[in-house]
Amino acid sequence: MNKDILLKVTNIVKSYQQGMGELSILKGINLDLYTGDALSIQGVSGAGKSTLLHILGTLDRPQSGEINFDGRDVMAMNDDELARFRNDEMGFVFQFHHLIAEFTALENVALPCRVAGESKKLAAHKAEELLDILGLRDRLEHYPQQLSGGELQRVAIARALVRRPRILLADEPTGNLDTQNSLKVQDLFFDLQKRFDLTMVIVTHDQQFAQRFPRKQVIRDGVWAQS
Amino acid sequence: MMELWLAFRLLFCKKTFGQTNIMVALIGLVIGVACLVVAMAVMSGFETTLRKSVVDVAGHLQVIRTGAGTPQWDELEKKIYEMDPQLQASLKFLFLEAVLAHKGETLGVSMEGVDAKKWRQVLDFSKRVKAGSLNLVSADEIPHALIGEGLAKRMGLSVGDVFRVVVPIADNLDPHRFGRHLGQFRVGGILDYGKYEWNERFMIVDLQAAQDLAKIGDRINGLIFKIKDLDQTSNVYFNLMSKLGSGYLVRTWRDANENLFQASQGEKVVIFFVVFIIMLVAAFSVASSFYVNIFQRYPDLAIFKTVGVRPRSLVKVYGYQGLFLGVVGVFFGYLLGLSLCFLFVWGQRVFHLMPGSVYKLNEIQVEIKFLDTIAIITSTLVICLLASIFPARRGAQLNPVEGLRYE
Repeated sequence: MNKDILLKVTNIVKSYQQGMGELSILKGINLDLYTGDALSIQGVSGAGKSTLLHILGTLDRPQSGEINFDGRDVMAMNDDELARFRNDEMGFVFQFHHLIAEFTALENVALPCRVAGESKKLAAHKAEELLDILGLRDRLEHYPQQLSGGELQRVAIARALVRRPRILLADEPTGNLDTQNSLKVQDLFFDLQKRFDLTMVIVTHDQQFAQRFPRKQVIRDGVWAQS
Repeated sequence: MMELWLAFRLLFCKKTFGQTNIMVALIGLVIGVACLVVAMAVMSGFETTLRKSVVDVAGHLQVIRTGAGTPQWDELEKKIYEMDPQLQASLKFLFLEAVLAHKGETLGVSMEGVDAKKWRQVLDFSKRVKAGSLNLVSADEIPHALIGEGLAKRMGLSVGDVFRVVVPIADNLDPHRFGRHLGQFRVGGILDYGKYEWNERFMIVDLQAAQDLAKIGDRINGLIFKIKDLDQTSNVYFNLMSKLGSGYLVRTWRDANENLFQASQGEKVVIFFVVFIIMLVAAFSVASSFYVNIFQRYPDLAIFKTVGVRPRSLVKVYGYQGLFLGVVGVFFGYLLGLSLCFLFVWGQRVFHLMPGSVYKLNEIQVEIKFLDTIAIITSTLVICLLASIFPARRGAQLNPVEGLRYE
């Protein structure tokens, strides 16, 4: 394989305090993600899938281990640097859309651009372009409560991609959708991955969705299960 | 200015105004600012009204002979002028305690005789005439007197009425014996002297008439001076005190009412802090609203952090919201405060809200001072900023993973 390693994770350990004891979630996870990789992570509830995704996305810090993104030591960054890093390099999609209720679809999608310091006009232009690609041109000024479940998730995907991140992390993105919408969103992920040359990591319970990925990993009791 | 945009975008929405008591907190701020404006305006107005009436009636500075012997006042007057260039005009005066009698009623009064030709250069009664005129010179043999409006009302005197005055003068040989000197005056004008006690018992007459009544020849008590710059009064006072030496008393406009002025300034500071408690309560209400809002917005804050909003930017977002509430509170608080001030001025005239016997003044003006305004605005904005920053810091420390669990 000629591709470079984009994200290298070494020996990640994460545990939570539970009463007097400690609950160990991740027990030494290693992962190499290459540019353009599409990886699905599966596992039973409580196996540590979401925790790993949050750590990959720098939303949470592990107790030990190393995370290296394109040669940069992510663990050494402070909160401000991490915020900038997420804005530049990462896109997130969650099971619940987590759109800001008071913002229109356009404003929700433009938010990461505004955070990056882009002008309102430029941010709106980028958001509009992306929403158009996702088939939501006639929903620009709609508020989240005026959108269907599938539309909400597509707006959330647009928000994740508007800054053209190199890596897209999704946690159960179809978990809240019916079968028809779920299939649409699945197709969308693969289309967008090709279109934007994305590196994609998706946590899912959906066996059928997971099987569509070229790389598949199962997490069990905090470590990779042998496939 | 992403933070400013986000602050306003999040402030004017249902989740902020509809689901928290931020409107109540804002009303509290408006009331607090209005109370501060009214309290400061009334206190400042009290001081200004008192100072104006004292300066108008008693002059800026008085030089009184306290030692033995009678000085040559004309020569002394020239010498005093040379002592300080701030002295602008002067006036001889004679002060007498007398008993006024009219229609069977008697009343102890204070009578001040001033030079009828020069007195308007030093004292200013132009805006105090309620009836008659300021003319001290009479066309007939009965001299004119300018009496206080309270005195006129109490004794049933109107312009043109003639009343009698008795002055007790101590015997030159036996100070335990008093002679009675009787005279009569015609009411030339009825004045509002400003202070209650002056309105009730004070009158001004021509110096010559006062001297004739007391039968003391050309003797006077001293000189009243007008100073070019009123703020220089203290400097002129110390200058004259050091150069005149013993035997003379120098009194400034402030001396006779020192206690009142000091009390007024002390009370102003105390009232500011007492009324400021209303602001503190409002600030707690603002802080509580922000805490509720931040708690309700945990998922939103988590998303903000996820898309790259820095923790300090979140603090700024809520800080701007707090400042905005402060600005709105100050603006509407000032509007309400000024309206109440106008209402107070109107109420004084119509309902006589200020009993002069208690407050020394029958009516006081309201005055908004620049420094008071700065103090009110600064304290309001600082307290609103603090009330927003503490909850905001909590929001900024939120772990985004925690926030994403809320739905």
